[in-house]
Amino acid sequence: MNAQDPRDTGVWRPPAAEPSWFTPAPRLPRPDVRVWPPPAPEEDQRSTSTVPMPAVTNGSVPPRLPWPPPGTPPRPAAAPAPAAAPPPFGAGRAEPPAAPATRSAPERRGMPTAARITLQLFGAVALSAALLAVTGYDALSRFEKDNAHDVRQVAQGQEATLLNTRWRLLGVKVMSPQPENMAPGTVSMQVDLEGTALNEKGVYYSIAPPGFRLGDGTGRTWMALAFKQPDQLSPGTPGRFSLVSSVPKAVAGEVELVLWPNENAAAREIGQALRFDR
Amino acid sequence: MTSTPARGARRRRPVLIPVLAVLAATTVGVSAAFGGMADAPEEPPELLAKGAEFDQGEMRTVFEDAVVRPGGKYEMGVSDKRYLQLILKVTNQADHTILAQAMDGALPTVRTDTGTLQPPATPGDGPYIRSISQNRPYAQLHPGVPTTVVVSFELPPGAPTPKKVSIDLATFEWYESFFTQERFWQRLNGPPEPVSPAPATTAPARGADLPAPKTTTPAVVAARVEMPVRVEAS
Amino acid sequence: MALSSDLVPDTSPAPAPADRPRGPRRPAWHRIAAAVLGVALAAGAVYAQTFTMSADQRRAPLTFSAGPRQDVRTDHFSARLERVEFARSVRVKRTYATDEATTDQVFLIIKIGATGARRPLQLAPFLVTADGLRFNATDKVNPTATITEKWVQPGWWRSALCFFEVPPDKIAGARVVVQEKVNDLAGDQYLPETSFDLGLTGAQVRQGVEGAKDGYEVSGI
Repeated sequence: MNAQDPRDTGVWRPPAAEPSWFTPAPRLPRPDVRVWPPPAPEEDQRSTSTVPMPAVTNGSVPPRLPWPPPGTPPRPAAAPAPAAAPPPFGAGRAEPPAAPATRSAPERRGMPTAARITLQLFGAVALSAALLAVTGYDALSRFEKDNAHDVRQVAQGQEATLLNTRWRLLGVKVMSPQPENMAPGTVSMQVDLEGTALNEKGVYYSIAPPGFRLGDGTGRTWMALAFKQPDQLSPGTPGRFSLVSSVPKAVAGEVELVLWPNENAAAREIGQALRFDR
Repeated sequence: MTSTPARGARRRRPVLIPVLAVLAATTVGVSAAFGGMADAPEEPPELLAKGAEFDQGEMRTVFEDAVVRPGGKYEMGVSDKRYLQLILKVTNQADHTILAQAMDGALPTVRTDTGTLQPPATPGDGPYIRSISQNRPYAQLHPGVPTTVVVSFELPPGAPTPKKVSIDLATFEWYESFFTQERFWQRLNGPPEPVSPAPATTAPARGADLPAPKTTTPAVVAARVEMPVRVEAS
Repeated sequence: MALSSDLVPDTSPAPAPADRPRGPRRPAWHRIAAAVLGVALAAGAVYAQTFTMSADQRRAPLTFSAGPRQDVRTDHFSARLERVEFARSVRVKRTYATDEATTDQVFLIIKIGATGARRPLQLAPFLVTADGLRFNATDKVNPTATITEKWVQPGWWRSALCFFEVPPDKIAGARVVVQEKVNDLAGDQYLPETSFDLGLTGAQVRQGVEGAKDGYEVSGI
C-alpha cells in the first residue's frame, strides 16, 4: 500500500506499473456501474439483484422505461430461464408456488428423435467394431510374436553362426545318379554343409541334427535329411553334413538351404535361421 | 434438517444380531455334538470278487483273473522272471481311442498278502500294461470295443508268491475346467488316506516289513476287488 | 404474474403452453413400455450369448469336408480320398522282417493322397464313426507302412495308406479326418483338417467285410 498519497483510498487505484509475470497486478475492484435506470439498449446490462425493489411512486423520478426496451431483439428461447424468482412483496400469497413447474421447465429443445437414434446406433456399431478390432489386433500381434522368425541371408561362400556352431555351405547340386522310385517331376538334390562347434554347447548337432530345409523364391520349402553326418563334433573341428532332398524339377536351380536350430523350429518356422545363397 | 418420525410408526427392535448369535451358537453346538470339524469316517468301499464288473466312468472293467507266471506269454516280460499279471477285460467308454496305460491310474492301489505293488516303491517303476489281441501286446483301447488288458507287475526274485491280491478302483468323471472350459476325464481324488498295512486276513507277519503304499496322488476308492492268485508254471 | 409485473420487470418468459408434460411425470403405459423394452433388450443380450462358440468349438480345427475322390484344399495341405478296402490281416514287408497284423474284426484300409501347400508336413488321419466315436489308426500295423511316417511336400501328390481296426457294425456312415501331425506341446491352434465321407452303406460294408482277404501286403521300413 502506498500511504503517501492522501487521495489513495485503497479501493480504486491504477496499477503502479504494467503487470508482468513477477509483479502481479493488485486485484482491482470493479468500478461502479449504473444499475438504474437501465443502461442504453446496446449494452444490455441486466441487474443481478435478487431483492425485489418496491416501486417508488414519487413524481421526481423519471418516467419508468418499459422493459424490455422496445429496441432490443426478443430473447432467444434457448436462454436458460432464471431460477424461479421469489414472488415480490405482497404478491407471494396470491400466487401459489405451483407455477415453477411450468415456468422453470427446460426450454432447450432436444435434437430430433431420428437424429438421436441414429447417433445411438452409430455409437453402438462403432463401439462393437472397436471391440472386435482391438480383440483381433491383440490376437494377431500375439500370433506374430509367437511365430516370429528371423532368417539371416548368408552370402555365397561365407560362414555364419547359429546357436554355438559356425556353418558353411559347401555346395548344392543335383544328385547323380538319381535314386530310384522318384516321384515324377521331382529331382533329388544333394547338399553338403560344414559345421564347426564353437564351444561345448555346439557339439550336440551330431546327435540332434538341426532342421534342414530347401526353400525356393516363393516361400515353399522341402524337407532335407542328413544321410551322412559326423559321428561326433568337437569344438573347433569342422564336421561335414550331407543332405538329400527331393524338390520339383522346375526349382532345382534356385533352391537354397535354410537351416533351423532344430526340427520343431523348422516345422513351425519360428526362431532364428540361416539361409545360404548358392 | 431432521425429520419428525411419523406418528404411529412403532419403534423397531434390533432383532438381527440376537438371531444371528443364536443361529451361530446352535451351529457350533450341533457340529460339536456330531464330532466337530473332524472328517467323517469313510464308508468302506464296495467289495467285489473275481469276475466282477465295475464301471469306472472312462472305462468299464471286468476282473477276470490274477496269475503269477514267468514272462513270455503275450510276448511280455522275460522268461527267467516272474510276474503277477492281472487279466482284465476293459471297455473304453470314452469317445476316442485311449491307451491301455490309462489303467495305471484307474487301479491306484494294488496290494497282495506279501506287499504293495502299486503305487510302486520307486516312482516310474509301475506296471507294464498292454492290450492283448491274438496273444500279442498292443497299446490302444478303441472306443466301445471290449479288449483284454494285462497289467503286469514284476515280482522281485526270491519274493514269496502272493496268494491273494486286493485292488482299489478309482472312478473318473467327465470334468469341465472352469478356466479353460476344456473337458476331459478326471480321476476323482480324495484326501490322503492313512497308510494302512496290507490286508491281514491271511497275511503272514513277514508282509509287515515291505514298504507301505505311498499315497502321493490319493484316489477315492470307489470299490475294492479281492481275487485269489493263480500260479502258472512255465 | 400480474402483480409481479408491477414491482419488477418480469424477466421470465411467458409460460410455455402445456403441450406435453415433461420430466418425471410420464404416463403409466410409457413407463411399462420402457420396462418391457429394457427387459427384452437384456433378455436378447443373454440369448445372444448362446450363439457364441463353446470352448470345444473354438479350439476345434477348421474342417473342410468332401466326399470320395474329391480334392480338398486347405491352407496347409490338399488331400483326397482315393480308395477304401477291407482286409482280414495285413502283412508288412520290412527290410529285415515281415510283420503280420491280425485282428478279430476287420481292417479298414484307406488310401489317401496328399500334397503340401508351402511346407513339408506329416499327416495323422483318424476315423469318426456315425455315432461320433473317434478311432485312431491302429498300432498293429507298423507306422512306417502308413501315411503317418511319410512326408507330404509341396509340388507333387503322394499317396499312402492308413489302417483302422473298427467293429464292422460301426463302419457304415463313417468318415475319415485328415489332420496335420502336430506336436501337442506346441499347442497349435486353428489348424485345418479335411473330412471325407466314406460313403459306405450297411450293405456295402457287409459285402466288403465278407470279401475281405487275408494277407494284404504293404511295404514298410
